[in-house]
Formats: sequence, structure tokens, C-alpha cells
Amino acid sequence: MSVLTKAKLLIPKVLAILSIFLMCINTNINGLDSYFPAIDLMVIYYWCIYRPQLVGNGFVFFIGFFKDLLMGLPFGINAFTNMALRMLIVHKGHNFRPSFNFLWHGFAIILAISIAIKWLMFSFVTGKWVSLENAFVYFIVSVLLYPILHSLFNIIYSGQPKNYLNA
Amino acid sequence: MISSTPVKSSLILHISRPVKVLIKKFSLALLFIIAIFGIFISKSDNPYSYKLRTSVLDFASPAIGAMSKPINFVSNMSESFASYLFVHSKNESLVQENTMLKNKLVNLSGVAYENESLKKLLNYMEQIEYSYISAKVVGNTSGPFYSSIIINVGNNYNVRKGQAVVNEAGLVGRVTEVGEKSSRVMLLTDINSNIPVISNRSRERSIMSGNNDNVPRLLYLPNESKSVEGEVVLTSGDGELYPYGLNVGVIKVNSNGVRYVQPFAKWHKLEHLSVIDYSG
Repeated sequence: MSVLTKAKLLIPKVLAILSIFLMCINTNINGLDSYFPAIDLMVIYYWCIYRPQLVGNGFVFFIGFFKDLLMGLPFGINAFTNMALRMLIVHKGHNFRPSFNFLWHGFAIILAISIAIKWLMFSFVTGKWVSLENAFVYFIVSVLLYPILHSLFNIIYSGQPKNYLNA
Repeated sequence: MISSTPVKSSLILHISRPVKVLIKKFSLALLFIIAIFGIFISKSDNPYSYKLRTSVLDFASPAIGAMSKPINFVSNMSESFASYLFVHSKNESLVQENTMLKNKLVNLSGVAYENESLKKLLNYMEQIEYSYISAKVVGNTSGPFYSSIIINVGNNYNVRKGQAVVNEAGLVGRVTEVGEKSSRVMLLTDINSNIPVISNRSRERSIMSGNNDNVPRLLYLPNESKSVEGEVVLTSGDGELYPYGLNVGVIKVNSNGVRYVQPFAKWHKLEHLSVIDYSG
């Protein structure tokens, strides 16, 4: 395997790490910082469907753990959520050729599950029921933005080495 | 002695192989256990986890700051453009405001003189002085269930955990993690934020508790609360965590009579902040 091929196969991992950093930027745009879309989940979702071997359990755990550290959250909340979602996504069977609409709806369901898990965990950690007001807007913004990110990932996917597509 | 080495190594291999297979088989379960264990560890104030967090914060904050710059440039430019479009109407409203403030100033100068005289008469002790540490916001780590920001000062500027953070509008939050070159500030809307406050007219003390929405709730008010909508809320200084008298926000009352606080600080305009060096 050439260095270039290896580098290309690293793209999903780099995208996931980059998405965590992007989620921490100060946009100075009214409301956006609290509702910043779940781009880390979009990366995990897309690549777990098309190239699950490139984003393994260990990696999604690491990404979640890194996000917890960077966002100042209790360790394990995002790591736990990411692994649970990966389990749900990759158990799709062989010859899975979904339409875009199917994937979009699937993302909305996965995001809703992710929000529900986190909501329960935050309520447990803080000892009170956390408001879901922000989470609702966050859900809408993320679902609306998904098609754009999906198109971008499609371009990256088309540039991936073909020999390793079903590795 | 010579013959024992292969025996030992074969024994290690004999034991390690099934262990490796077992780990591989149960790696997913192991990761889930680690994640759950981590959540419980986080509930206690563990010094090692704190050190790990602050190290990651120090490592990542320059990169986040650099990534924020182009986006800030674009958003500032669009804001400047919008303000340019409405410059005439804004000028008119500012002239009106200026006239109103001038009238108020004339009335207040008399009150200020009276206040000074009364203080002298009572030998009133001024509150403890505090100094400020200037900081810049480099990142915003808020999400649907948490509200915090990253600032570019830490131990290098003698920032300490628990210090209050303000901007020109009023209280923003408090320092929760201090790294070498950066710190995390928990915003007052965060679910873990509980601030002792006092309303400026009714003088009712309460606790302003965040719930991750934009308006924190006032808890432990008297049953027959006299505080009204629009009343300004200040820090009460109770518990000596925050100094007395920092502007926090205005009271909002809903149809059920529940009192909330609309903070003065605008969360999307947090750029330059001051950490208050206050020792109670």
C-alpha cells in the first residue's frame, strides 16, 4: 500500500478529529454556538455506513473521549454514545445500498437516539432533569445541515482507493 | 538457568494468547465499561482527571483560536456591514438616548452627593477592592446540554478556579478549569451554575440556577416574593465566591409567577472578558 493510499484511508479519521475542533470554535453568530450542528456524529454516521472498517470501535471511543475532555464534560458520555450508535449503524447486513432519503431519515433517528442517551446521562450526572429546549433546535439545525455534509463526504468517498472499498 | 528462559517465554505465550483473544472478543464490552466507569469517576473531583482535562485544553486552545479567526473575521464583517446599513436610524436612537441620559445624570448627581454625605455620616466601609485579569475568548464549547467557553489565560496570569468572569455588560460565569495558558469558564446558563443573587429594589436574596436555556431560574425566593419584572439582579456576595454588586440581568416573570433572569451578557458577543481576582 502506497503512502498516498494510506493517507487517503486516514481521511475519515482526520475529518472526525477536525470536526471536534470545529465544534469548539467561537463563531460570534447569535445562537449558533449553543446549536452548533453535530458534525462529529455526521462524520461517524456516514463513514460507519460506507467504510466501517476505517472508523472502528476503538476510534469512535477515542473521538468521544477526546470530545468529553475538550468540552469539559464527564468522561465517557460521548464515548459511550458513539459506541452505542456505531453498534446500531454497522449492524445493517451485507449489500446495504440505501437511498439518500433513507440515510437522511436514518441520521435523524440516530441523532434523536444520541440526544436521548446524552439527556439521560446529563440528567443523571447533574441530578436534575436537563432542559431539552436547546437540544430541539440543535436537532433541527443538524438534520437540515446533513445533506450538505453528505454531499461533501460523497466527493471524498469517490476519491478513496477503490481496492480497499470493501476491505 | 540457560534452559529456563524458553520455558518461561513459552509459558508467557501460553497465557498471553488466550488473554489476547479474550480481550479482542470482549474489547467492545471493555470500552463500554471504561466509558461508564469514566462517568462515575467524573462525578468525583479527581486530580488526575483534572490534570488530563487542563492539559488537553492547553494543547487544543491555540488550534481552536486559530480556527476561530477566519470565522470571526467573516461574522464581524457582516455585522459591520449590517450596522453601516442602519447607521442613520441608529444615530437617531443614540441622540435620543443621549438626551435622556443627560437628564438622568443631572438628577443623579444630586443623589450621588447625598449618598456620599450619608456614607461619611455612617462611617461606611467601602467593599473590598479587586483587580482584573484581561482575557480573550478563544473557543466556545457550549452544546445542547452544557455551556462553557475557553479563555486564553491560565496559571501564567495567576487565574484560579472559582474566580468570577465578567464583560462590559455584567457577569458571564466562573472559572472551572485552569490550565497553564488557558482556562474554561462555565457560563451562568450552564446546568451546574448556581449563583447567590439579590434583586436591587426588593432586596430579596435567591439562587440563580442555570438550566441550559437562555434564562436561568431564581430559586429559594420568599413565598410572597415582591420582586417584579424588569428589576435588576446583582450578585449578593453570599458564600464569598463572587464579589457583591456585579450586574447579572433583569427579572422576567412567567404566567405561573416563576421568576427567571434575562442575563445582560450577550452570549454571541463574548470576545474580551475580565477575570476578577477577588479573595472574599
